[in-house]
Amino acid sequence: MRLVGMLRILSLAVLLLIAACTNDSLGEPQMGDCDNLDVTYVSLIKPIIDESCAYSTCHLDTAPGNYTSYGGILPSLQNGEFRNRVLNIKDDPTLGMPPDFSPADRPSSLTEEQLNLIRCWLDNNFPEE
Amino acid sequence: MAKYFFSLLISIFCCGLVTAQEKIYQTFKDTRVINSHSVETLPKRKLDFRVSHRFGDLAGDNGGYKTFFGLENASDILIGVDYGVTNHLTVGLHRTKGAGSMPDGNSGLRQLLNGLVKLRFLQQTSDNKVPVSMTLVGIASLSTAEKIEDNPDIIRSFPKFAHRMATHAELLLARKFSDAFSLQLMPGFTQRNLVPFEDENGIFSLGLATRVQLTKVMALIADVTFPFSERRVSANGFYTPLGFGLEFDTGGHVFQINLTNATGLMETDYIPYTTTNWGDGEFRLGFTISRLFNL
Repeated sequence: MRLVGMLRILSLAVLLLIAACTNDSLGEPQMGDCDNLDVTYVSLIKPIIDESCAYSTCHLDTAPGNYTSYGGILPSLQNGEFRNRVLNIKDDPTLGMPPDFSPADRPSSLTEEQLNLIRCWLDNNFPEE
Repeated sequence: MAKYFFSLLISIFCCGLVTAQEKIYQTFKDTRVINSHSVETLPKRKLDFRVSHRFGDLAGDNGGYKTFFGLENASDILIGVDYGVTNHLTVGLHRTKGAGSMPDGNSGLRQLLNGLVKLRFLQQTSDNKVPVSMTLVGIASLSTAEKIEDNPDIIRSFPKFAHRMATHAELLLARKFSDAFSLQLMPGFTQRNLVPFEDENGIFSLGLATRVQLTKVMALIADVTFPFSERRVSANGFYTPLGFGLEFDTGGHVFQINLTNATGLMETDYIPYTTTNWGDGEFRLGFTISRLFNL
């Protein structure tokens, strides 16, 4: 008798789950338009990196690479790690850059606009000037 | 301890005399293998408090010495309880962090509450009249993550409440061939209510799990789950979740340590979202602490 009661509750739960079932998909990703942008390291990227990456305790002295110059960033641009950390796994709390443990006076995530600039810059083979 | 050993001796002795309709127990020693569930359910009125952990990549780009072989990172963490309502029905509630993502980095569901129902409806017998044990498993995962309104490209935009959910159902068929060898087949179906662009909502899968006793106290366990999906192939950046582990029976307690490429702990997570590859060093150390209480 108790088992029957339990099975009733179970089947009710299953019915509720089926009722709450949807088959939805996200739309095509909104890719920012890069055509009208002339993104170079000097023009638009350096300020972002200076603010969010190249400061003491991070990509200036302790973390890999000195990001105060183009040459210092170049290795991680070329091996794809920059794109991976900043764009692909940006939501990972520790590996996504900038990380969630950034100092209080530094951003722990980039704005959509900054991300779009970086995406365009990387897609265009990260020109310096 | 001595009492336990004595009753074990008696039961072994009895098995020699009364073979017909003896039920086969302990096809696996735990209710989970590595990533997968096993046919085992909890005894009635036992509460199983579980904490499972998956570390970061042991090797590859995100592993090695700089992350101390992944120990600096936690891919997924589970904390929760299972409860044996009867000897054949186990229910559970677990909280996981959620770990899986698409190959492009778009993450799956995060901050999850997972409900579990396990019904064991067939138990193998020693006379082989019932050659296998069978268990039904149902899992529902609900993301409690905050909704992000202004980014329609990510799952966390959650246009509807139902989009926070993913469910999984599977049938477990296991046979204990001998005390040293058990094998389990796991046909399953995973449903995600919201998926990334051009992905599929429902995924059929087939899993395989095994347990091989190596020495008196040590056993090798392994499981693998193949999603039946044309999209989920290595050419697209998806990999088959595959785990190996060693199980030590320390006397009244089973300790397990494992390696797996899957990052997520729940079926609703690692079946659709395993994009980490053994071949690239993207496998991790994992373990589970499980403690039984009488209620």
